[in-house]
Amino acid sequence: MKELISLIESGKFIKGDFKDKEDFFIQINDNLLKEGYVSVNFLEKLLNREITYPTGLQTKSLAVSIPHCESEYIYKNGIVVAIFNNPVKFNRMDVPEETINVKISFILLVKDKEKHLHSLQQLMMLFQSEQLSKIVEVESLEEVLELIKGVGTKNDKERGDFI
Amino acid sequence: MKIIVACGSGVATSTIIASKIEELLKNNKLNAQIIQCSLHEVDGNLKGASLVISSMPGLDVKDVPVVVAFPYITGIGVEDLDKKILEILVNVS
Repeated sequence: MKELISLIESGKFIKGDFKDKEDFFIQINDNLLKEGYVSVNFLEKLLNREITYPTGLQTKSLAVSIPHCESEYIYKNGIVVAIFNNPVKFNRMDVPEETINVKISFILLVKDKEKHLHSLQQLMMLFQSEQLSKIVEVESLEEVLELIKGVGTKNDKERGDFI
Repeated sequence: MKIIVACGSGVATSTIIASKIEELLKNNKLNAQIIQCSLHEVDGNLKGASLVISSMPGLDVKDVPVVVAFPYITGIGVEDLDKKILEILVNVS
């Protein structure tokens, strides 16, 4: 899980209450803009993308989302891990007209997609792992990383076919 | 043989699906060129393609079969999807 951990370390951790996904995107965008992660078009691209091609995923344990946009609006690689105290509605990637109550969102800041294959595969492994539901309880980035280190180890029960 | 793998932005889910398809081809000794792109770039790449694999439904393509490869993202139903894709590829190769 080395590559995924390194991307999460380069990103951000946020836990809080958001009215809806737009509220969440606006707040995180302020942060990302200030710190030079994204271009000024990022927020608009992210919002549009959720309308045309939503990113909500129902895993076997809980609902997550992976908001992202084209690489040209990203300046720094990373993953934002966001935990919602109260679930936020996202539309489903597989059934776009349906919504799901998302507990954890992973915003993918992908500047170089060639370099991201392993970390994306590892993220999908996390989605199929029992560790995913434990992330809801954590309070810090360090705890998230600790849990991810446990993915795929013998204590972690597989929830599906690993990708 | 040419296979198009597409997702909303051509960045995240198509990367995962493309790697999964490469593995599937290798394990079944099939050869194909894989083109990874966003959903709105599919039309421009369609010429000569045997199969379009998309991460989400709703793609309107004529004359080329389309498979939605969502199970490669969630891991639910992977075996059935492998089988479905192989059937199409074996028929065209």
